[in-house]
Amino acid sequence: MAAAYAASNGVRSKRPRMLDQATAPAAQDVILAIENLRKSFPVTAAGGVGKAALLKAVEDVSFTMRRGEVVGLVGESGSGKSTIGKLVLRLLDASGGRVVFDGVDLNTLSRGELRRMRRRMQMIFQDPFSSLNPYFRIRDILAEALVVHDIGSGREDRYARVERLLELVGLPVSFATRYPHELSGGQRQRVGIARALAVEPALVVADEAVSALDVSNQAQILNVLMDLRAAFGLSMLFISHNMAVVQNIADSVVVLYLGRVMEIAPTEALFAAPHHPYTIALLSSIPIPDPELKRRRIALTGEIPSPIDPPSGCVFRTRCPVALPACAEQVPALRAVGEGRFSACIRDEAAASILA
Amino acid sequence: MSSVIARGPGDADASPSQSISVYGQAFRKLLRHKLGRSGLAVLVFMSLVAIAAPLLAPYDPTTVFYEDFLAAPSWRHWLGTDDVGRDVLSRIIYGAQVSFQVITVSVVGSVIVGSAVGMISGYVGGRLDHVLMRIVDGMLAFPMLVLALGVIAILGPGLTNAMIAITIVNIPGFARLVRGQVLSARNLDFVVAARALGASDVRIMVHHIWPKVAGNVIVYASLRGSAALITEASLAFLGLGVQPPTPSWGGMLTTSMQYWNAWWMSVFPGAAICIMVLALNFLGDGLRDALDARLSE
Amino acid sequence: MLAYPNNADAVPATVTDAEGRADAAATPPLLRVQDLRVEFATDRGRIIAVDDVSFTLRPAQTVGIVGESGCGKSVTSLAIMGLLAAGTGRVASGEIMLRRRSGAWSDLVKLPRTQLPDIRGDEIAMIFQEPMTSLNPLHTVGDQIAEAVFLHRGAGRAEALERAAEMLARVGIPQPRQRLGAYPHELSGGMRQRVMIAMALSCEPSILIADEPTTALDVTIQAQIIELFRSLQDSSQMATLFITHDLGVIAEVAHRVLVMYAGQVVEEGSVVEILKRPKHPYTRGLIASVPRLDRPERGQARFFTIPGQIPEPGRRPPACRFMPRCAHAEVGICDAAPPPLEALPDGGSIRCVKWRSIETAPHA
Repeated sequence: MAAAYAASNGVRSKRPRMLDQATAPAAQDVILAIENLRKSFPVTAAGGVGKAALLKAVEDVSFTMRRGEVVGLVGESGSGKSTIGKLVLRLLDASGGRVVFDGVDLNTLSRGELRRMRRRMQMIFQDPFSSLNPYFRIRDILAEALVVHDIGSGREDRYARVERLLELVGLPVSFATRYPHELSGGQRQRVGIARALAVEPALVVADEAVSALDVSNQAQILNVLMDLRAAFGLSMLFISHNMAVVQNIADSVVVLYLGRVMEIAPTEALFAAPHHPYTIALLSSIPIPDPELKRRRIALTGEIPSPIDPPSGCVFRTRCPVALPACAEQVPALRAVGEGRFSACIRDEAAASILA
Repeated sequence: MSSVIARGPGDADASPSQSISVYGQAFRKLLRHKLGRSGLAVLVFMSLVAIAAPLLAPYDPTTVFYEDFLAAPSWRHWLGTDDVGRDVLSRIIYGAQVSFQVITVSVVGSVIVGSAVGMISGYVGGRLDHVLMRIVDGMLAFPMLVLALGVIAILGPGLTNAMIAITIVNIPGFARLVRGQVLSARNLDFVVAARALGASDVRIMVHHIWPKVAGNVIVYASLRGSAALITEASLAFLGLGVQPPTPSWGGMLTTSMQYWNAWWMSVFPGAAICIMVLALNFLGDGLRDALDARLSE
Repeated sequence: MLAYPNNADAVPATVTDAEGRADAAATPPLLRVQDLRVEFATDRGRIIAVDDVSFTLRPAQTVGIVGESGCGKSVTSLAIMGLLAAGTGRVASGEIMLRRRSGAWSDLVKLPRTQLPDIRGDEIAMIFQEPMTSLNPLHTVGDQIAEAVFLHRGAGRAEALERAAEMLARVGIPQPRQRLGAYPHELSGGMRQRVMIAMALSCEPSILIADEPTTALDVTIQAQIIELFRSLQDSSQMATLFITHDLGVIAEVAHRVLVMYAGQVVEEGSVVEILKRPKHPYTRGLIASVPRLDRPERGQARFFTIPGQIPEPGRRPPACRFMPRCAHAEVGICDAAPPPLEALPDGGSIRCVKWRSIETAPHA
C-alpha cells in the first residue's frame, strides 16, 4: 500500500531525506518513492499584461508505491494528478522534491541514463486517437520501443515479438500492418498498452487510460490491465478521475485536491470509511445508476479555487462543510488516522460531523 | 510471453480492407480534387515536355534563322521567331528545362535548409531559437526580389547564382513555418509517447515530428515554387539570371520589351510562365485540401 | 447537505407507478417523434445514422437518452433542433411533431427552414457539453442572455438585461447583477454551464434538450448542476430531453429512459425499469459493465464486458444489430428479420424477440 511520510511540509530540512524508517516499507519493496514533489508553471496574467504568476500544479506531494502494487491517483481538474504522472516519468522536470525509482533518484540521471531508464518505466495515455503516430503502421509503432532499446535481433525478430504483443493485448495479428486510423478507440488503446509493455517495464503510469472510452470498451481495457498485472506483477500508478474505476483496480488510493494530498489509504478502507471531508464529499457526489438508492449527498458549494492563488492553510477549507478558523492558519500535515491511512485534516470527527 | 487475454469474438471480424497510409489517402484525395488534379496534370505534362525537349522542339533553341528574324507565327515557326531569328516555340520548350531546374533546385534547397533550421529552432528552443528567429525575421523584412538582388550583387549574375539567391530568399519562410509547426507538434501525445519510450531527440524529430510537419511544408513548397519561378523570371528580366543564349522564359520576356509590336515574343513565354504558376498554385490548393482533411480527421 | 428528494415530488403526478415514481402518462405530449430516420452523405456514400426512433415527451417530464458513441443519441437531438449539418445530414423520413405554444401541432421536419429560428431558443432550447465553445467569447454573458430574450420577446435592452439577471439568479449564480458584465473566459466550467442553462431558460421554452451537459464537468461541480436540473423539474412544466452516456446521471435526473444502440432505440421504459430490471441484452450488458461505487467487484478477477465492438454505421448487421455481441443470440431467430420495437404491458418497449426467455437469465 502507499505510505505517506509522517512529516510533511513546514518542518523539513533542505537536505534530501532518506526514507522515513517509521512509516516506509522495507527499501527493496519500494518501486517508487515520491518525496516532497513540487511543480509550478509560470503563467502570464490574462491578455499577457501584468506580472507573471506561478501556477502551483503540485505542492509537496509524497507517497510510496510497493513493487506489484496498483496505486490510484485521484482528483478533479487542477488536482495535479496528470502532472505527477509526467513528473514520475521525468517527462517534466520537477520544481522541487525527488522521484526515486527503484532506489535511483531520477534527477541525478544524465540524458542518456534517463533514456535507458525509460525502458523500465512506461506510460499509457488517455487519448487513444492522439497517442499513436498516425504515419506508422501498428507493427512499427510497437517495434519502435524495441528498436530504441535495441531489443531483438533485426526486423524479423522484432516483428515476431510485435505479433506476440498483439496477442497479449487481445488483438488479431493481422492488425500489425494496419494504420491507427483503421482501428476503433478500444483497439487503439490496446495498442497503446502493448506499446507500454513492449519493453517489459517494472512500472506503468496509466494516465486516465480508460476515460476516453465507451463503457463497454472501458470494461474490456480494465480487464486487459488486470490480466497483465496478474501475469507480470506490474506496478501501476493509475491516474483517474473515476472513483468507481479506481475502487475496482487499485490497491491503495492517493486523493489529491489542488495539487496537494488530502488522503492516502488502502482502497477498501477509503471507500468504506473516507476520513477527509473532501474524500467524503467527492464520493457522495458520484452518481450511482440506481434510481431507488437513497444516499446523503454532501453538496460542495462554490468552485475549485485557482491554483495560481490557492487558499491559505488547508486548500480545501473554502468549500469544506466543517472548516474551522484554524484551517486557514497553517497547511495541515498528513497524519496517521489508522492502519496505513493518512489524512491532511486537523478535524478527527470530520466524517461523523458531516454525516450526522 | 503468452496470451493471457481472451479475445472478444467481435475483435476478429475486423474488416480485411487494404491498409492505406495517411499520405496514400491524401494522394487519393488530391486526385479527386478538380483544381489539384488539373494542376498536377499540367505540371506532369510540362515536365515531360522539358525532359523530351530535344525530341519535341522543331529546332535547336540557339539556331539563328537569318532570313526569319522577328517573323510572325507561321507554319514554319508556329510561335514566330525572335529578334535574332531563333524559333520561339523551341526556346519555350527548352526554357521549361531551366524553369524546372530553378524550381526544383531552389525549392528543394530551401526546404532542406529551412526545415532543418526551423526544426532545430523549434525543438531545442531557448537562446538558439531566439538567435535563429531574429536572423529569419531580419531576412523576412526585405522584399524577396530585393534580397535576391543583394545576393546576386555579392555572387554575380548567372543561372547557378540565381538559383542560390532564390534558395536563400526562400529559407526564412520555411524556417518560420516549420518552427511553428514543431512547437505545436512537440507536445502531441504520440511525440510525448516516443519520449516516454526513450527515443532519442534525432529519432523523435525525424520519425515523429517531421511527418506531421511535412504535409504543410509540401503545400507551402508548391506555392513557393511559383514564387521561385516568378523571381527567376524577374532576375532574368533584369539580365541577372540565365545568360544568353541559353533560353529562359524570363529572359525571353526581357528581350521582347524592345520589340513590342512583335507580340508573339512576349505573349507566349508570358503565357508559359502564367500557366506554370497557376498549375503550381492549383496543386498547392489541392494539396492543402487533401492534407488538411487528414489533419482534421 | 442534501438528502435525495424523491422524484415523485418533482412532477405534478397524474399517474403514479408502483415504485412511487411519477409518470405523466396521462398528460398530453409536447413532442412526439415518430419513425425518425436520419441519413448522412459521406465519402463512402449514404450512411443511416439513426432509424426507427420513436418517443414522446410530456410536460414536466425528463426523458433520458443513453447509449455509447455512435448510437445516434446526439444526432436525434440535432434532428429535433433542425441543426443537422446542411448538405450532409438530413431527416430522410419520419415526423417530429411539436405542440406549439398556440396549442397547434407542427411537424418540424416539414416546417419551412425560415420558421425554425422562431422555435429554436424560444419553444425548444438546447445546451451542449462544452459551454466554452457554445458561448461567444467576445460578448458579456449578460448581453448574450439578453440577446435571446430580445430576439424572441422583443424586449428592450434594460428589460432584457433585467431578465438576464433574474435568470442568472435562478440558475444559482451568486451576485447575478455583477456577473452580467463577465466574459465567458472569466467564468469556471460549472459557471459557464449555468450561464448556458440560464440562456436556454430565458424564454421559458417548453422543451429543453441537454446534450451531455455534465460530461465535461468535475464530479463535485456535476453534482451541483444535477441539483439545478432537479430544482428546475420541481419548479416548472418544462420537459427535458437529457442525453448522456452516464447511467448514474440518468438515474438522478430522468423519469423515462431510451436506450439506443447502433442508431436504434433498443429499449424504452421508466428509469426504474430500465436500470433495475433491464430486459434487452444490450441494456443488461451496459449496466453490468459500469464499475460502480455501490457494487465494488474487488476480489473478482474481471469486469463484465460486452464482447466485440460497436458496428460502424455502414457495417451494421441486417437483422438484430446487437446479435454478434449478444450472449443470448440464436441463429435462425435473431438473424431472421429486423426485430420490431415491441410494446410492453408496463408502458415501455423493447427491441428483442427473445426477451421473454432471457428475462430470468443471469447477466452475461
